Amino acid sequence: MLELERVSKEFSARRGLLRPGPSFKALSEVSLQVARGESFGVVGESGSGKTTLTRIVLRLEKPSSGRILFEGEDMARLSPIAMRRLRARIQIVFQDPYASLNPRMSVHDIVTEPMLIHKTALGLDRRGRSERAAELLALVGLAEQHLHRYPHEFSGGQRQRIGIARALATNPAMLLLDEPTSALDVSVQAQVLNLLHRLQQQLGLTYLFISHDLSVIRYACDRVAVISQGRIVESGPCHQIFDAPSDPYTRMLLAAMPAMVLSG
Amino acid sequence: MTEPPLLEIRDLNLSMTSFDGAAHVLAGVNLSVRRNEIWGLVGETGCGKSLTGLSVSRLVPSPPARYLGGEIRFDGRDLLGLEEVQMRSLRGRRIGMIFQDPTTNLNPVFRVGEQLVDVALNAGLHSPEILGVVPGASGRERRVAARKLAIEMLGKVGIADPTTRIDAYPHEFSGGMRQRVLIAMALIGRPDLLIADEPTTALDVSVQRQILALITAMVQEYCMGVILITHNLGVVAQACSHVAVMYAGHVVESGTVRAVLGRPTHPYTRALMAAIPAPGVARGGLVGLAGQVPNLIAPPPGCRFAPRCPIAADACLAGPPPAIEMGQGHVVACLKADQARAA
Repeated sequence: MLELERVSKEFSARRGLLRPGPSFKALSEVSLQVARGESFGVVGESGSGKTTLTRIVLRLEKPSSGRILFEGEDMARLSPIAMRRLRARIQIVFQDPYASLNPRMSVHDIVTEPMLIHKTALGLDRRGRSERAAELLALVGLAEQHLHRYPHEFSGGQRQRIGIARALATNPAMLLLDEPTSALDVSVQAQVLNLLHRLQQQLGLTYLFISHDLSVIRYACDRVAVISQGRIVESGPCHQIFDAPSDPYTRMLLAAMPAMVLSG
Repeated sequence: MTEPPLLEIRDLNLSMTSFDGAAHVLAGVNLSVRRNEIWGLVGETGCGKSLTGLSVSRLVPSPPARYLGGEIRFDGRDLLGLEEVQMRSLRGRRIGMIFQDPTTNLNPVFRVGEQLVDVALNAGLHSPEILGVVPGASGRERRVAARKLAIEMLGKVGIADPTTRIDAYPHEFSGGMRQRVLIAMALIGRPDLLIADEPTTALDVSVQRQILALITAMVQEYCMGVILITHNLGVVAQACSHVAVMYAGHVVESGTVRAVLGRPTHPYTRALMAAIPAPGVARGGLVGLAGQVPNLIAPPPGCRFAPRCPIAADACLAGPPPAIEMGQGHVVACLKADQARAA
């Protein structure tokens, strides 16, 4: 469904106003394939290129080289109108549910905004949008009465549910989950992970799951790519990577992971 | 075993005044820490773990905070009765602190050396033997000694080439290195008690492991007592000797790490552990905790966990739960501890 072919991204630091400085390779020749209906995890430490990868998939950045294919189409060749249509098909859930919801918008406005932006694709009138918003809230485990409240009235876990409802508003085929639970407590994290799992089964979604937390990735994903310094050092089915890692970096990462197993 | 604990918190009650009324945020916290013990204080957001830590160093602004009762005995003295001046002679000297975010806790406009020297000089003011200078030494001699000590400490926390690095600015260090600098700063006064509030939360796992190993090594070297505040039970299993689990201002379960994590008994501890994505848990198999943390302005009567507890009975709502000793210092504040354990 999503395919990255030798994607690289360089950022150049400017020395002077017009003098280009040395360039920094944030991603180098990253290739990966995400199949329809699966959860694909990308795990790495800070500075590894995880964020650059999400920005490139969302086409907020253009790759310096390489191709990105979504449902077989090269993103770079799409016309602006086709690109706009494609954007409705890939949506994102952000890390921080405190920063990613506009405090001055009601839940209704937050959830219907993407429908307004993709009005032509969805063809929903005002009433249709409101009905869909209520449906979406029910889908993520909130009630219709929450529609007219504001983000500050919700807990972190509830806000993340609102973020998920917003991401689902345009009927996407794929969700990009950028550290969706790292700002949450474990008991709430468990609820959100279970919700994501249920939604995936119900709606047949494809997930690209970005995280630094290996245990979350192991729980939530089918396949995983370990990324370090802009390169994919190892990728494969989750059980293989976690049970029999072959790359020294992956092994180090797994060894550093705080386990609940008590020694001695 | 006969040695009195270094720190003893007894029945600590703290209330915070807010616009909506007074919130009873710490409701009878008990904790005692001996030398060489690393106590993990775990719980979820808002359970009072940080406030407990901050109370020991008396850094909770008051107002809005008000201590309703209880005592914090450090080396026999009740810290709640001390004047600010007396507290200042303890902070940075006998009580060291490390906070979560290494990027905001160093002043960006001063070299790390100057910041370390400041702390060393202040500690030296209260205990001249730390600097190792003769009494009545000149300011310059003390400064030279403080710098020497700062270099020594930087080396100890694993900063390569400390003699040059001491003149670097904070932005020249990575996150993990800054946390090392802060640990050096906390240890420069040779504290007896170290309070580390989420010291590794902002760091990558590989760096986290190094920092935890450093803290454990330093505890052995200096015979300190440590309170390590964290929300991560994995960190507790990795670094602590003892653990106290907090929920809504209560310590619900405490004891050695082996006892508490090996045989978790309080329903909240069990729920917390069931929520961790452990190896072998099938997708969809995690158990989240239903319901919400109680409103601390009008907390439920009796056990604060009762409204979310799977085995709560009417008696749980009637009065605060008794602290039940399960053996070897493993204490569970639950009326139905026996049943919980059997379940």
